[in-house]
Amino acid sequence: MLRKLKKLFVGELFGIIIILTVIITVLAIFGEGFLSSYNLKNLLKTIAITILVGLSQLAVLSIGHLNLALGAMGCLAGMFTGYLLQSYDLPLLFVLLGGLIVGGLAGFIQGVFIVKTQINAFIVTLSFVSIYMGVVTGITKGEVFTKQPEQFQMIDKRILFSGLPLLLVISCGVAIILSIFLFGTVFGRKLLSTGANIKAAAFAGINTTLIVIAAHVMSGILAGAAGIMQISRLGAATPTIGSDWLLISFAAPILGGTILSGGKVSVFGTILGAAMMSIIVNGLFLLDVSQYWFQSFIGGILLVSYGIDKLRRGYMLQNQS
Amino acid sequence: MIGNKDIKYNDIVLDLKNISKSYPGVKALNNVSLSMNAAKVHALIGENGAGKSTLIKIISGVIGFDKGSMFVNSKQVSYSTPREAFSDGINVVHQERNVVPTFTVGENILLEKIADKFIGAVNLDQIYRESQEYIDMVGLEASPSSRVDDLSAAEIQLIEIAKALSSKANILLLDEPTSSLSFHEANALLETIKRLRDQGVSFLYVTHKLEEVFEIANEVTVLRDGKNVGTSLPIEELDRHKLASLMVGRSQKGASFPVRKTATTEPVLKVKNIASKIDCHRKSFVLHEGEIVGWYGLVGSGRTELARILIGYDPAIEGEILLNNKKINIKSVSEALNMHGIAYLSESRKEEGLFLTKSITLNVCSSIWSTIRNCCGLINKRTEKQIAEGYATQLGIKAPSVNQIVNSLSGGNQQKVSFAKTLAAEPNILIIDEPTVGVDVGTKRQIHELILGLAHKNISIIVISSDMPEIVQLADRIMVFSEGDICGEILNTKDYKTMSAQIIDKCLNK
Amino acid sequence: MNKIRLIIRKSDSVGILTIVVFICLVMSLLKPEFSTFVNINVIARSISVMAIVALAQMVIIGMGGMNLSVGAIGGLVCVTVGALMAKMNIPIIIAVIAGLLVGLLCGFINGLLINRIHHFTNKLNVTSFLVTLATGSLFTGINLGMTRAVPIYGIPDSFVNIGRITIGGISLLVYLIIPVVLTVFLIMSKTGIGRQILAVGGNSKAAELSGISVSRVTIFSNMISAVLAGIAAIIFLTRLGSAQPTVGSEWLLFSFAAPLIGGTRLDGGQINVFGTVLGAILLALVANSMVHLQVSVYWVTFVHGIIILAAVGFERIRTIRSEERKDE
Repeated sequence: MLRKLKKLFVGELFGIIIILTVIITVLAIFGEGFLSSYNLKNLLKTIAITILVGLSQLAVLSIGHLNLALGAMGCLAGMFTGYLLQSYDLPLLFVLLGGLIVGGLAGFIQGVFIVKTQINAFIVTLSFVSIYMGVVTGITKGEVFTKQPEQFQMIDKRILFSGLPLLLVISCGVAIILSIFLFGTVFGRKLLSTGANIKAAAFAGINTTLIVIAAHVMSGILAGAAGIMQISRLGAATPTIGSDWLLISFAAPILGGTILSGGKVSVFGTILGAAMMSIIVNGLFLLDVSQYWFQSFIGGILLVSYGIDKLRRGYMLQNQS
Repeated sequence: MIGNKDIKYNDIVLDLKNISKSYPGVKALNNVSLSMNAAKVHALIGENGAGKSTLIKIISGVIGFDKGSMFVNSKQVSYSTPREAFSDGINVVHQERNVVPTFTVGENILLEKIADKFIGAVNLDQIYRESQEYIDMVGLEASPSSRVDDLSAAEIQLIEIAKALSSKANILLLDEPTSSLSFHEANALLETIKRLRDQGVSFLYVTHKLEEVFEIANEVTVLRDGKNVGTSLPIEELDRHKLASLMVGRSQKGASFPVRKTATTEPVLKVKNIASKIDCHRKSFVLHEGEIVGWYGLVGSGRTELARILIGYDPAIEGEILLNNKKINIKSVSEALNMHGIAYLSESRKEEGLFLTKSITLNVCSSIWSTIRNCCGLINKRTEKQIAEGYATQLGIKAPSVNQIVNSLSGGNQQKVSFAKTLAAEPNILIIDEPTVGVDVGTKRQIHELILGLAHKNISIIVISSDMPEIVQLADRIMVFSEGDICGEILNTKDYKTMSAQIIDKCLNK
Repeated sequence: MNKIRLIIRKSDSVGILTIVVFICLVMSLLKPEFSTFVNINVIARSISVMAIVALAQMVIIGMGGMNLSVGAIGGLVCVTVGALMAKMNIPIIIAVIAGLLVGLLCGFINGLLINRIHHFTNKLNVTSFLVTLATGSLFTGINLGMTRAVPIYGIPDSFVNIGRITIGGISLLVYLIIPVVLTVFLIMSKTGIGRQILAVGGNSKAAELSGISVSRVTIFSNMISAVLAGIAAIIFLTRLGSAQPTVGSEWLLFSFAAPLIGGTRLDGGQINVFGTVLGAILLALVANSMVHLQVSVYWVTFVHGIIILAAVGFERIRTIRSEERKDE
C-alpha cells in the first residue's frame, strides 16, 4: 500500500490534484459565497482565460523558449478585434479570425526574428513587449473600443447546461485539441523532440527552423484567443489587456508540472495549475483578504511548488538505482 | 625542479594496492594495483569500460573505494573530496575544457588565487606577472592578458596544465589529452609533457591510443574489464602487438571476422571533389554495395566533416555526388534520409543522437513518424510501440519497457537505441561515427556483429573510428584520413600487425 | 601603459559614445530647448535613477543569472523609506539605512532561494528566472498589501530638497551616481568577490573546481543587485516627493536594455560598467528627444524595443565575425 502511494506521489499531477481538492473543500465549507452561482460563474470564466494564457506560454516552453510578449500579443489581438467591432459591421467569424490572425502574425514575426538572428528568446520577446505595446498604444493613442454587438457579447455571457460558461468550454476544447496535436501528431512529436534536444532533432531530419516559428505562432494565436475572450468579458477593448499575464502564464504550466528546461510538458497540468491559481485568488477574496496581497500569495505558491518539485526530483534520483 | 621539491627520482609517488570498487550490480574495479614512479609518464590504458575513469575518479578524490589501500608520496590516504587530493598535489586535466572563457590567460591559471580573496583586492598586474612563470613552463605562446576566447583548444589545454602546475601539483592525471587536438598540436603536447617530466612532474596518462603510449610512456598499466592485465610494466618490455593483445584480450585473435570480397560490385556511391562551407578540403571516394569501409584517423582529421556533407547536415557547395550512377544534390538531412536513404549515426550520442528525456519509443521512431501516421495525421501509437519493441528485441536493449526514458539506460543500451533509430529508417547507406565509444566490451561485440549482419543484407556501411583494432576487425577496405584529407586507401587483410603498420605509415607520410 | 590598454579595450563603448554625442549634437541644432539647463536636468535626473537600476541588473547578468525582481525591490524600498520618514518621523539617515537593509534582505532571500532550488540539470539563469519571477511578485504583493496602493505623502522637506539642489546648474543627483558607478566598477574589476561573480558567470563549473563557492557568490551578487535597486529607488524618492508603490514596475525592460546595449553579455562572465551607464544615457536621450520632436509618447517604448534588438543584433554579428576569423 505504501509503495503504491509512493508511486503516486511521483506521478506529477497527484500532488496538485490533492491540493486542489483540499482547497476546494476548505473553501466550500468556510468560504462565504464560494458555491454561489454568481461566484462560480465568474471563477470558471477567469479559469478559462487563465488556461489559454498558460497554454500560450506552454506552446513555447515545449521547445525550450519563453514568450514574455504574450500579454502584448493578446492586447494587440484584442484591440484589433475591438477596433473591427467598433468600426465595421462584419460577420462575427471574420472578426474572430481577424483577431486570431493578428495574434498568429505577431508570433510569426517574433519566431522568424529569433530563428534568423539566433538571439536569445528572452531578449527578443522582452523587446517585442515594447514593440507590440508601442504599436498598440501608438496607433490607438489610448483609445478604448466599447461597441460590441450582441453576438460578440454572448461569448462571455453564454452559459451552457445551467452552469458551464461557454468560455470554459472553449478553453477546454482548445486544450484538448492542443493535447492531441502535441502528443498524437507527427508535427507534435517534432515539436517535443526539438524541445528535448534541438541538435538531435536536426540530425533526425526535423526542420527545426519551421518548428520554432510554428511554436511562436501557436503561442500568438492562443494569446490572441485569450485577448478576445478578455475583451468580451470586460465589455470593452482597452490597452491594459494582457498587462498582468506574465506571472500567470508561467505559474499555470509550472504548477502543473512543466519543467522550464524543456522536454516535459503537460496540458492537463496547465489546466490544473490555472484552476489552482484562480481558485486561491478567489478564496482569498472571499476570506476578505485585501486584494493587494494576492500577488504575494501567487509568488509564494510558486516558490512552494519549486520546493516540492526539487524534493520530488531528489526523491526520484535516489530511487533510480 | 618544479612540483614537490622533496621527491627524489625512483620514489614511488602514487601506489594503489588491490583497489576494488563496486556499483549496484557492477564491479567497476576488481583488485587493481598501480605503482607510479616519480618523474615518469605512466600510461593507463584500456578499452572503453575497462575501468579507467573509475580509477581516475578514485585517485582524484571524486569517489572513494571499497577495498584496498592508496598511498600518495608514501602517505596512506583515502580521499572524500577532490580538494583533499588537490592539496596532496594531485591534479586532473579532463577531456572537456574547463576554463572561464571571458577571463584572461593569467586569471585562469591563477583562478585559485582569486578564489581565496573575497573582500580583498585582486591585483591583476601581479597575477599577470606571476602567471608568466607557468605560461613559460608549458611553452604557451600567449600573453597573460590575452582573452581565453581567442585561443585554440590546444592552447586552452596548456592553460589547464599551467594551472595545475601553479598549485604545485606533482602528479598530473591527463585524461585522453589528445582527443580533440590536431596531429601537430598533439605532438607539441607530447613534447611539453616530456619536458615537464624531465623537470620532475609525474604524469598519469590515460589513453586508448597505443601509438601515443610508445611515444611518451615510461611505464604502462593495462586494465581490462576492471582488472589488471598488466601492472606498471616498463615500456621496454612491450611492443605494439603485445600491448594490443593485453588490451583487447582473446577476442582480438579469436573471433575475427573473415575477409569479404565486395569491391568488385558496382559502386553505389561515387563522390568526386566535394567540399562544403565548413569543410573546404576536396575529397573523393567510392562505396560499393554491401561493403564496409572503415575511415580511420585521429580527431579532427576530417571524417565527421565529410560524413556531414553526405547526410545533408552541411550541404556540399562543390563537387559531385553520384548515387547509383545518378547525380544527386543533398540539401538537407531530411532529403538525405527520406529521398536517398543515407543515414548517420552520430558519435556524440547524447548531444546529437538521442532525446534523453524521451522514451525509447519516441527515439526509435524519430526518423519515421511520417510513415506511421494514419489518414488524419495522427500517429498510430500501437504501430509505433510495436516497431520500438521489435528493435528492442532484435538489438537486445535491456529496459523494463519501451516507455523507459532513455536517460536512465546504460551507455551501451543508449547506443543500441541510437542504432535502432537509424535502422528504423531502413537506409541503404549507413554512416556510423565511432560505433562503440563508451560502450562495454560485450555490447561492443554485439554491435560489431550487427554491423556485419547489415552488410550481409547489402547495406553499404561506412564506419568512422579512431580505434584501430575495431577498424581492422570490421572493414573490407580502409581509408586513412589526416588533417582534412584522405591520405591513403588499403584493402584489409585483417592481419592486425601489418594493417596497423600500413595505416600509421599512411598517416605519417602525409 | 596598462591604463591605455584598458581604455582601448573599452572600444566597445566607443560606438555608443559616438551615437550619444551624435544625438546630442543633432538635437541641439534641431531644437534649442534641448540644450537648456532645464532639459539637461530632466535627462540627468532620469539617468541618475535608471543608470543604477541598469547596474543592479548588470551585476546579476555578470553572474550568469537574471533578476526579475529589481523593480519589486525598488518599490518596496521606496515605500519603506517613505513610510519611515513620513509616518513615523524617523530621521532621514536612519530611514535610508533601514531601506537599504530591506533591500539587502530581499537580495539575501533571492540568493538563498536560488541556491536551495537550483537543480544541477538546469542552467543557472533558468533557476534565477524562476525564483526572481516568484519573489518579484512576493515583494510587490507585500508592497501593495502594506500600502493598499496608496502613495505615501508627507516626506520631510529636507529630503525632497536634496533633489532640488543644483551644483553648477546640474542636479546634485547626477553627482551622486558617480561614486556609485565607481564603486561598482571597482568591486567588479578589482575585488575578489567581483572577479568571482564574473568567474561563476563565465563558467560556474570551472569556478567551483577552483574553490569558488557558487552559493556564496549567488547570495552576495543578489544582495549587491538588491542594494543598487534600493539606492535607485531612494534617489527616485527625492525626485518624486512622495513614495509611490508603483515605483519599479516599469524597470524590467530598461534594466536589461542598458547593460546589453553597453556590451554586457547575456550569457554571463562579461560586463561593461561604463557601457551600461552609456546605454542608460542613450535610452534616456532617445526618450527625451522624442518628446522634443513631438513624437507621441506612446512610440517611445516601441523605439526602446527596437534599440535593444539592434544592439543585441550588432553584438551577435560581431561575435559571429570574430568566430569566423578564428576558424581561418
